[in-house]
Amino acid sequence: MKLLLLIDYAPTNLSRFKESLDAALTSAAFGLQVSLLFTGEAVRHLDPQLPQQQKSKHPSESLQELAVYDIEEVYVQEKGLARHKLDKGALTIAAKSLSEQEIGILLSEQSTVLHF
Amino acid sequence: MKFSMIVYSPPSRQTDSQTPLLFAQTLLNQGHELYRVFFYGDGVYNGASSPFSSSLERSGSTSGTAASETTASDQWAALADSHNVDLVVCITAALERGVAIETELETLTADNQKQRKTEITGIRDGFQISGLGQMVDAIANSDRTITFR
Repeated sequence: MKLLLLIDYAPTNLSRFKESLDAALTSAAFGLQVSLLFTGEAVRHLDPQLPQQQKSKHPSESLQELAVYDIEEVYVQEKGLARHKLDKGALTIAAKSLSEQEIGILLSEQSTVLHF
Repeated sequence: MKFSMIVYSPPSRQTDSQTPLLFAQTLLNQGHELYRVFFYGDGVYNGASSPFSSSLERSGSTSGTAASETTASDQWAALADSHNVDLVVCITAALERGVAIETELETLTADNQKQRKTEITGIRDGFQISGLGQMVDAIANSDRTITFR
């Protein structure tokens, strides 16, 4: 069963991000095939220059946990990367950049999309 | 069709038409099955026992909820009752927000032995308390799972 976690909010609420990821990690632990898609401002979660917020876990740390749960399919919106001037080859974790059309195809392949 | 819902928004951030509730009521009226409603993140406020939930709704509501009006949690509980819907509040999210409170009690057993028990309060009757496993179970067992944020 394919599950996609869609993240489209800026990296300003890291407890929200943690909760989103926990849902994805738990789903993977129960055997669902989980992937992540970052669109719009959310691409900045993968920005290597993202400053550390006090008292919050940096997104790059949380994203390292994906590998532990064998979640390897991480996608970012091409348009979002361009708007936020990020290089798809220089993100904190490996991610595949997708066009709008490819995003449409990805979404249609999922059994469930979680959009928190 | 079998649906599950994941509610991520608190009552105060929903529109006056209370979209998740309206969606649940509509799908049940149309004869679909509602397998589970899982309250996650700020959605746990929907399952708070009053007066916590009603004060939160009043503070956020644009329409100004009067004490006599039915709160969102009242309506969810009524739905659970009338249609036997499984309402589950995520324990971690609820504890983190102070919606649920964990207290350790020391009691005496019948033969005067000290016993420690953990009690969770703050969640309204009609709502179960569980973990993300219940969310995944809902996703796996439903034709469609819809998130409300």
